[in-house]
Amino acid sequence: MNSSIFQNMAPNARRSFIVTVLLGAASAMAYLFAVQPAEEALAKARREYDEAAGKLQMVNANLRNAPANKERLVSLDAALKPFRDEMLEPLLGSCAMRAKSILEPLAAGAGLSNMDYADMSPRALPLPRPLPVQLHRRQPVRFTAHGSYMGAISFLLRLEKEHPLVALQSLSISATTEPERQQIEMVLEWPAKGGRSK
Amino acid sequence: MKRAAFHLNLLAESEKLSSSPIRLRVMLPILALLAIVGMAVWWGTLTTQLVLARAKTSDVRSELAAKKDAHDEIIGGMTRANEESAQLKQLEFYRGGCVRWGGTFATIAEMVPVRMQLARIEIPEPPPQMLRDPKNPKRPPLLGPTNDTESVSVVMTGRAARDTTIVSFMESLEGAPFTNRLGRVTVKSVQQEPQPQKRGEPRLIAFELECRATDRRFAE
Repeated sequence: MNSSIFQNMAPNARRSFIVTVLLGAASAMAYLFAVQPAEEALAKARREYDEAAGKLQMVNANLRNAPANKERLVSLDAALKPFRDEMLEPLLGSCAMRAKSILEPLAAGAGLSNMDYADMSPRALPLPRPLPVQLHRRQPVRFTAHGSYMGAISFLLRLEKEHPLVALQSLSISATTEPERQQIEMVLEWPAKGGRSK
Repeated sequence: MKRAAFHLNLLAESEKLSSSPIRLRVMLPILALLAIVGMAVWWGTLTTQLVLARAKTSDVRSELAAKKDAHDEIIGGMTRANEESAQLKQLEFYRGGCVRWGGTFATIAEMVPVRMQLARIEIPEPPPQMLRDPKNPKRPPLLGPTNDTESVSVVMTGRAARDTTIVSFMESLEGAPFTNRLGRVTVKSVQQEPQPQKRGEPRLIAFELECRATDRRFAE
C-alpha cells in the first residue's frame, strides 16, 4: 500500500519526497557524527577549563598568602627553637650520657658528689590534632648523687633556671647519718624525638 | 431555464494539486535543507566555542606551568608550617606538664620546725603508662596516652618531739606559700617511737605525711 502511495505520487512530489528523506537523513547524520561529538568535546573542554581555572585561582591565592606563610614559618621556628635547643639527643647511644654532660657541671657546682646517671624508658605525650609526622616524647633519666638537702635544692633551682624545659618527674632525698651526705635521687625529663606517625 | 450541472475531471490522481498556497513538495525539502544548514551553523558555533575554550585552557595551563616552581615552594612551606605547628602543639603539651619544684622545696626547708627532723622527702614516680588496650593486647600500642594529666604527691617522713609540731607543720604546708603547688596534707602514719634516742629525752613521734600536689597537666 505504501509503495502504491509512492507510485501514485506525481514525479515532482516523488522527487521532493526523496530529497526530503535524503536531507533529513543527512541532518540526522550531521547531528550524530558532528554536532553531538562537538557538544561532548565542548563540555569536556569547559570542564578542563573550569578545573584549570580553579587551580589557578588557588595557586594565585597561595601566592598572595606567601608572605603571611613565610611569617608563620618564621614564628613557628622561633617558638620551636627552645624545644629544639633542649631536645635530648642520645650521646653514644645513651640519653644518660647526654644528660651527664648537661647535669655534671650543675651538680658539681651545687656540691653534690658520687653522681650517677641511668637511662629510663621514655614516656609518650598526648597526641595533638592534627597528628604531626614527627612525634615527641618525654625522655626521663635517673640521676643519683650524694649531698646536702640544700645542695640538692640549689642544683634543682639552677637546673630549672638554665634548662626551663627539664622537668622533675620524681624525687627522693633520704637522710643518712651525715647531714651533708644525703642520698639524692631524681628522675629528670627532657623533651625528645619519638616515633613517626606515618 | 434550468442548467444541468456537469463536472468533468480529466486529471490523473498524481496530477492533482493541493488547494493550499503552501506546497509541501516544495516546503519539505526546504525545511530539510534548513535543518542541514542549522546543523552546520550549530556545529560551527560549537567548534568555535571549543577552539576558544581550548585556547583559554591552554593559556591557564601555561600560566600554571609558569607559576609551578614558586607554588611548589609555597606548598612545601605550608606543609612544613603545618607539621611544625602540630609538633609545637605536642611540645606545648610537654611544657604544660613542666612543674617547678626548686622554690617549693627551698621554702619547705625554711618551714621545718626546730623540733622536727625530716628523714625523707619524696615525689613518687608516676605509674607506668598503659599504651596497650587491655581488652585487646594484640593490637599495636597507642602512639600516646589517652589522658593528659598525671597526679603528683609529696611524701614526707620524719620525727618530731610533739604531735603539735606535726600539726603546725601540716598547717604550714597547707598555707599561703604553697597554695599554688600543694593541696591537702594527710597523715599516712604516725606512731611514737618505742625508745628515746638519748636517755632522758622524750620519745619522738615518727610520722609520714602525704601532700597532694597540683597535677602535671600535659595540655596547652
